[in-house]
Formats: sequence, C-alpha cells, structure tokens
Amino acid sequence: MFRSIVQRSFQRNASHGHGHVSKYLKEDPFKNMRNKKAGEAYIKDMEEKAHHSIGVTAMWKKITYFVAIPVVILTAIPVTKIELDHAKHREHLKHLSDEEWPVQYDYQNIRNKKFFWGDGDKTLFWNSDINRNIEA
Amino acid sequence: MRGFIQTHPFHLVGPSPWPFFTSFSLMNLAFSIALNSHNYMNNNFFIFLNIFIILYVLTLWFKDMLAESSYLGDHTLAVKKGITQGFYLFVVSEILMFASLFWAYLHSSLNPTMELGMQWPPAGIEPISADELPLLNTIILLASGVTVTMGHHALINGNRADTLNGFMYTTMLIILFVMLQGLEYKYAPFTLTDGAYGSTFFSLTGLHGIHMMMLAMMLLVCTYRVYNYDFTNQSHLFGEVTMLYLHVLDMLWLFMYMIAYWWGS
Repeated sequence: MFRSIVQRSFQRNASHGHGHVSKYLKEDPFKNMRNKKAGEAYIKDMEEKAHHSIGVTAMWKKITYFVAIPVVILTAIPVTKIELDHAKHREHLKHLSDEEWPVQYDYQNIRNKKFFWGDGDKTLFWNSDINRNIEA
Repeated sequence: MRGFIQTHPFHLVGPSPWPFFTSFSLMNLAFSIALNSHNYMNNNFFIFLNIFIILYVLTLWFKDMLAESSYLGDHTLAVKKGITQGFYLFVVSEILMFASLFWAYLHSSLNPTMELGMQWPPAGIEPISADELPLLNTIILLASGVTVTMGHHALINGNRADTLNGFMYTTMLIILFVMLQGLEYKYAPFTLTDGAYGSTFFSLTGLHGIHMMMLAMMLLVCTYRVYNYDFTNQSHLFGEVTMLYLHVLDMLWLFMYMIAYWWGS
C-alpha cells in the first residue's frame, strides 16, 4: 500500500500528475534571476564589513580586558565586604526572640491560603534567619 | 532536474510535532499552576512534568532549527530576514509585558496608599540598598554587553579565539548574574507576601530573572555553536538574536535598577 502511495506522490511531484515530464526540465531555473552587479555589491559589502570589524574587535577587546573585567572585580571587593557585614547582622537577627522582632504591619506576611509547596507557610525564597511570620 | 530546484528563497517547513507539543504543555503548565495555587488540585507533580516537557521539546525543536540552518542550508537571506522580524516582534511584546509591571510598580509607589503608611518603601520594610549587590549585578550586565560586542565583531572577521572568549565571558557573566540574584532573593529581608512592595518588586525582578536564565541557555548554545564551527562570519542568526535579547534585558535591568532599587529604596 505504502509503495503505491510513494510511487503516486513521486509521479505527481515529478510530472505534474499527468504522466509526462515538464518541458522546462532541462532549462536553467534561475535564468531570469541572476544579477551579477547585485551579487558583486553584496560580496564587496561583506568584505568591507569584515575588514572594518578588525579594528572594532581590537577596541572592544581592550575595553573587555582593561575596563569591563577589572571593573567587575573592583566592584565585587567592596560589595563582598558589605555583604559579609550583613551576614553578621543576620546572625544577630537569628537570635532575637519573637517579642524582640520588629512590629509586623497588616500588609506584611499576608496569608490568604496555604502555598502549594513546603509547609504551606514559607515563600519560595524563605530564609528563617531574617524572615519570620509571627502569628499574633 | 528543474522539478527539484527551488525557485524562491523561502523555507517551506515540513510537518513538525513541536508546535503541538509546546501548545499542550504550556496550557497544561498554566492550568496546573493555577489549579495548584488556588488549591483546586493537590499535586504539583504536573507543574514539574510540564516544565520538563517544555524544556525537552524546546531542545528538540531547536535541534531541528540548528539542522535546518547549519546542515541543510535552509536559512537564506530572506528566511533570516523573516526570523529577525519575528524576533523583533517578540522583543517588543516582552518590552510591553515589562512595561505593565513597571506600571504596576509606579502605580503602587508614586502614590502609596493609606494602608502602607503613605510612604515608599512602606513602613516596616527594609529595602535592598542600590549600592550593594544590585550595583555589582548592574556592572556585570554592562560588562556582558562589552564582552558580547567583542565576540560579535570578532565573529564577523573570522577571529575564532576572540569570538569564543567573548561568548564564554558573556555566558559566565550572565550565569554569575543569575546566581547573585538568587543570593539576593535568599537574603532579602522582605518576601513576596509583604504587600504591594513585595508583589511588585518580585514580579518585576522575578520575570527578569527567568528571562536571564533563558538568556544563559541561549548563550550556552551560542558558545557551543561557535566552538562547533556552526557560525560563519556571514551567517550567525542565532548569535545575532541572542545579542539583541541580551541588550534588551540589559536595558530593562537598568530601568529596574534605577526605579526599583535606587529610587524605590
């Protein structure tokens, strides 16, 4: 069955379904579509673009190694120091009792229904050291 | 053999199961998240299952596209133009989606309600300082813009070493950004449930974070494709759209940094 379907499709595609071969079979399919000038202009454009980009690459390479990466490292140092200080502060918060914990306003820790993960009370990025849901 | 020669520059795609799979798994994902979060369904297995199916289908769909572009030569100039236009439309829709979240943030913050004590950030909420981790994240994103530009220009003039370096640095910087955002969330003194501040802050930065994960995946694929000699100096459409995506997400982050972290804290 499949064999006859394949044969039939081949005949239909190759011969327009009429059992004969197209008279254009051996003709150049692109004969009216060639544009030598446009082709040359395209190649020239690409070559110019590639040539121009050599200098641009060198410039951005310098910016990468002498500006971007050093600036990331130079910013990371003080930020790391500050974050380590915050870690000490968090250590302090961890040992506070519920009475010493700052006042919770009505709009904080809103729970209308249980979350569908964990114990149903903790948010996805919950951190017991600094997040506390004190039931009044 | 005229009957077998294509006399137009377009790519007539063959039958593919991936649009079908993607539609169904996205619909199932939306349903299972909605039904779970409103307690109509008590099993989040289907959320994970559908996320897995989406990632699996994306992998296979992109595999097909890599074959069509690199190995079958279906990506002619006309096809690339069409895909680029499609990606521009996608990016515009993304920007509009972020615009709605910025609108929500500014709506809540420019005129804070009575219930929030008429101040922003609301009383009792300790915001994240703009000059700490978010500053490092901003610098990382600006640096990723620089490294990807180096990679792009090196790719155009066939400089393999610098192209590979540029894409690898960019990938690493974006992965670093996602990890630092994870730390920031983990150590945020407020949560998603802390009223308008928590909702608007986490929906803005969270949506951006999910996009950054997608960008990291795209950059990993780009780096692999450079390594695998898939890209030529004239044909590297996936690289171009990834760079466009990176710059758009950088810009959105800069607005987020200025509005949500700097002005809003």
